Amino acid sequence: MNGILVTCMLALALAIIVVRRRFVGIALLAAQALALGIIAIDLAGGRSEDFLVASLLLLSKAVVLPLLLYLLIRRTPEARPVAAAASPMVRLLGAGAVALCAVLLIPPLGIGDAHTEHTSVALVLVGITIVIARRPILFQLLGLIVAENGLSLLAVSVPGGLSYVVEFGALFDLALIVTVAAAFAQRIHSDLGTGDTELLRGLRD
Amino acid sequence: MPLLAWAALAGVATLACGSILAATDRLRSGLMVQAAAMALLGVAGVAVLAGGQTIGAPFHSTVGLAFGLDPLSGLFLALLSFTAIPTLLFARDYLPGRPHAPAVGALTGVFLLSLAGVLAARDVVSFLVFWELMTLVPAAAILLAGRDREARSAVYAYIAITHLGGAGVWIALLALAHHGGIGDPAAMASAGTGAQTLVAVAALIGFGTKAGFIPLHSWLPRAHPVAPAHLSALMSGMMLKVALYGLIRVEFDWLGTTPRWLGLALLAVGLCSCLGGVLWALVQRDLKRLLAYSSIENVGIVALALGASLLFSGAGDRTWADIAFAAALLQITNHAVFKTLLFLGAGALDRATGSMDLDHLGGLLRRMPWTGGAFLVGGMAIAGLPPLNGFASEWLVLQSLVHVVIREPLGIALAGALALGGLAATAALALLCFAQMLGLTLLGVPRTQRCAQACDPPVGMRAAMAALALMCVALGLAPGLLLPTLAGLAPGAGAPVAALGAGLHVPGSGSYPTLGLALAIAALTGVLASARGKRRAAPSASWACGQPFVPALRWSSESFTKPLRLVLESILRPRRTIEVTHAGGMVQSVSYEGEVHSLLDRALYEPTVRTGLRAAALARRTQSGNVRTYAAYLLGLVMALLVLAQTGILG
Amino acid sequence: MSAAATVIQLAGIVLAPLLPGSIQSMKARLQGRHGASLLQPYRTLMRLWGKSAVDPEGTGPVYRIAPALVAACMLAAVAIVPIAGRAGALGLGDDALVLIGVLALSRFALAMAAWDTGNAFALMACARDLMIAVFGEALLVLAMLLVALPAHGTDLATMSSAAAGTQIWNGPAHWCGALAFALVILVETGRQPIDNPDTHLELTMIHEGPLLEYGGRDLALLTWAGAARHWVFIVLGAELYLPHPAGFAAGLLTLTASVAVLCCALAVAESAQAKMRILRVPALLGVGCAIAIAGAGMWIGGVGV
Repeated sequence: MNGILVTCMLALALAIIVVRRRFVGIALLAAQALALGIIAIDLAGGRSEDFLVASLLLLSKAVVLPLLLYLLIRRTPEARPVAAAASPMVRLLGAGAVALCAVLLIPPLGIGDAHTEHTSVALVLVGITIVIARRPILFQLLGLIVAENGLSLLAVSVPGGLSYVVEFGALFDLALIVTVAAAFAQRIHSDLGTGDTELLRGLRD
Repeated sequence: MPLLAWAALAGVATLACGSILAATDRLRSGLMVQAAAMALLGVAGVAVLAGGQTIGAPFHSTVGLAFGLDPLSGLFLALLSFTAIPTLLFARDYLPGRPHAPAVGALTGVFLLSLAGVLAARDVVSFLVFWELMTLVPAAAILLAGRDREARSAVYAYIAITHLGGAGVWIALLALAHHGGIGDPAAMASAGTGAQTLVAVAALIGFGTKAGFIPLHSWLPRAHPVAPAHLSALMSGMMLKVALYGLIRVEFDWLGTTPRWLGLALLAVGLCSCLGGVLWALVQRDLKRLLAYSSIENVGIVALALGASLLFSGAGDRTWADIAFAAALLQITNHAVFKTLLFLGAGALDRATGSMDLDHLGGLLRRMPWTGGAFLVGGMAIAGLPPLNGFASEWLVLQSLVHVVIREPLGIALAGALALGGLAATAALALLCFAQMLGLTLLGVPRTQRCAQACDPPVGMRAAMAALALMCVALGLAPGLLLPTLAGLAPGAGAPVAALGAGLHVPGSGSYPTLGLALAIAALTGVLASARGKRRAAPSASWACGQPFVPALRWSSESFTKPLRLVLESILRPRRTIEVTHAGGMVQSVSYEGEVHSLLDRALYEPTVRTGLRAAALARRTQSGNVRTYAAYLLGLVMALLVLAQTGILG
Repeated sequence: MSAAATVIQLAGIVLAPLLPGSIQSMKARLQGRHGASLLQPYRTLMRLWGKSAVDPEGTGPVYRIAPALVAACMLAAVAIVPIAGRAGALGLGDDALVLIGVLALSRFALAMAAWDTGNAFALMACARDLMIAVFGEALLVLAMLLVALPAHGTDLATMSSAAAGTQIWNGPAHWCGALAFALVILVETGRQPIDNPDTHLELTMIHEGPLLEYGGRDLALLTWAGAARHWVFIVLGAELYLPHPAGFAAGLLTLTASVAVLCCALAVAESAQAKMRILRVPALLGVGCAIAIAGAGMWIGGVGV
């Protein structure tokens, strides 16, 4: 079952690259986080600490973050759809190529089973590809969170579990980044009227 | 001997006290305390030099602070003290009233401390720390004294060039420490030619930049003129010498077997510095910049002597290697003394007339007799005229070069002959340059109103300059007394050279009887001058083809060097614009503007700076300001690393 | 060290004006004039000694001391130059480089006097003189080097002994040196083609320029100093660069003959050439330096020895 969920996460990440509406993107992210949480709880076994960590992970990433992002898009309505950098098919193919390269090139890390390893690295790289391929600010933020999801997947699949201090630290970092990025997104939206990062180029001298 | 060590330590502590005192608004007493401290350090230096012993810790290559003195450092420390004490006495009357005087006074003390620290350092860390301090303190003092655009650009060029070139010092010393060669020439000899070449080249570039060899000299004429007078005196007098001390230590003491090419390289660098320095000194209008360029010339003469010494020791000729080394040390000593005197004199002239422009001075010998007299002695000494000290050391260097030609095989002898011709031409050029400088500043009729009302500075400044002038005369009259000590300082010195009295007697030359010559010339001049007779008519105007002699007919700094500028046009490349205004068939006015740019600035520095800026502009194109581009760079990098890891290149 | 040499050096002080006098007299004959007698310079000196002088306005002690200093330097130079391979016992040594230094001091003193008067002609002449001296001094040192090589030192008496006999003329090195020193004599005595000693135009003067303002005893001292310069360089040329025997008596006779020959040669050379454009003079002296360096190279390489 874990294997299916892991593949699901990757598929959801690839889906985020093609969708047009921000709401759908956030929903996909929430689903991905849900899958991650279920995997974490499953792998926790009987250990109570890991259980605690897993449930917190689930809560924050599947519930709190998407809520925050939903509030953000409510406050920053887009008048027109943002012009895309490239057509959805191209984006999908590009992301697929990146994921494939990652799977082929990554040497065995020896942390967990091979399938999870490959998928987590692919998730990180697909997350960076989302940042490159999408223009609206929100999607860039989503790409960052997807990359972080990949790292969390790797962390939870380490045999013996990861220290909860590390997990808390990572969660805190993520919360901070998302808050700051949301504040900036709001500011850019109020200044430029849209979340299109291409317009930010004009700020350069 | 612990007594000397205590004296040195006491000197250092007193110096620190003096700096603090100067900073807390008791400027004059602070400077006096600093002078007393320098006297203590000078006593320690002279005692170590005369006794020939070593005090403190020996040199070592491991990390750990250690200080000590040996006869070579003792000589430089004594020299530092002999030039710093008159400078501090001068600064006592010169500094108060200038902007930020207490801070500049304190920084002077720190500067002296860093100079003494470099000379006493016995390990890599302390040497490099004091070296950097020695570089940075004058920059701070220059910016404190004046913040205008010229000072800021001068300090920028100074720090940039000394650090870029000074990287050589770091490389040389760290390579030496790595091989365990500090203080142990055998270690470098066993380290192989590759390491030796690296250390030799790096030391030549690094110490050469700080000493002012051409082509790494560009900071000197920018930094020295904008510093306060007493600090310029210390920078030109002692900072360059400390750089030469470092060069001597690395290339002579620690390098093991000296490579043959190093002596020739020093000869070449010395020749270029001599000729270039004095040529560009000739075309300067600013007095301090002229003195700065002439420092480059004198450092070139030292390099010639050091190169000759290396060539002799490479050929196994011990006597002449020692004599050439003594010639270099004597030139270092003499230059420190008369350059300090000249810069202090320039400071006094600036204070009295408010201008350093040669075309705005004149007639100051009769209005400021003490300053003018000391300045005249300094100018004659640096022009290399008997019986003063400049001629004594130049004579020794010329003798060394003549004997290079006589004793060495063909290739090296021809190089020596070229160097000999170049040095003779340099001596004549220096004569031209300083005859012009002295004539424009001291003789004739004053060119501005303020000049006509100038008067002598306070007693302290006069006493300082008179003391240095007396030192010039004493060193010129009795250099032979110093010669055995200096020749004994050469590394691997052979049989000691005997002192045959005050004059210079070296084998293979008619001797230079300093006392006899000085006495003869002075006595004969006195007799003939008194035989002039009393029958004189009243003074009358000088001959100007029958027309009245008006100020417009007077000669400026450019006129005197015009024949030379015309002859050497292809090297100096002067630029001039002349505008003649006609009205009604008659010339109404003529406007003339002439300029000589430093050739190396245009040929070497400007292209380098332009290329650097163009490369930076190219690199800037990768900075798009767009997050997506940066993320793309990141992805590309990760992919490339994965590929490399996969193909096993990264292992 | 020799007493006889010392006596002759002291006699040189008195004999020096004979040299320019004889050159002028020979030049006059060559130009078809009767000309003044050989002793005319002595008459000039005595006349000047009896005259009073006028100081220019604004001059100070430097102007007044300069002629005495120049004459003192030339006296020291005369005492340094050895006679026929024997050094004098006047206590000033006989080193070639010390001689060059003393001559530089006299040049400096005249330059200072020129700046003190502020006279444009004096300064113009001084500037040209110092410019030519830049190249002239390099040439002089290199020419001395060529004789120092066989003597293994810069001791003038040893140099003269090493250049004695006919052996040294076998190789090209000494010929190069003779050529270079001939140029040096022309430069230092201020003869054509470098400078015209008979000119009365202030704009063309080189050596006479600084003398313009002087009169009376000062001018007498400076005129004598010019004659002493002739003595120093002609005697040096005769005993270093013309063939001479090694012994003292024979050397002395040869020296007298050589000095006479050199004076004739100077007179002929001056009458045969016009003055060279001053900006071309450094090129001529540069060629002389190149010849000297080539000669040194040939000596060290052992060509023809």
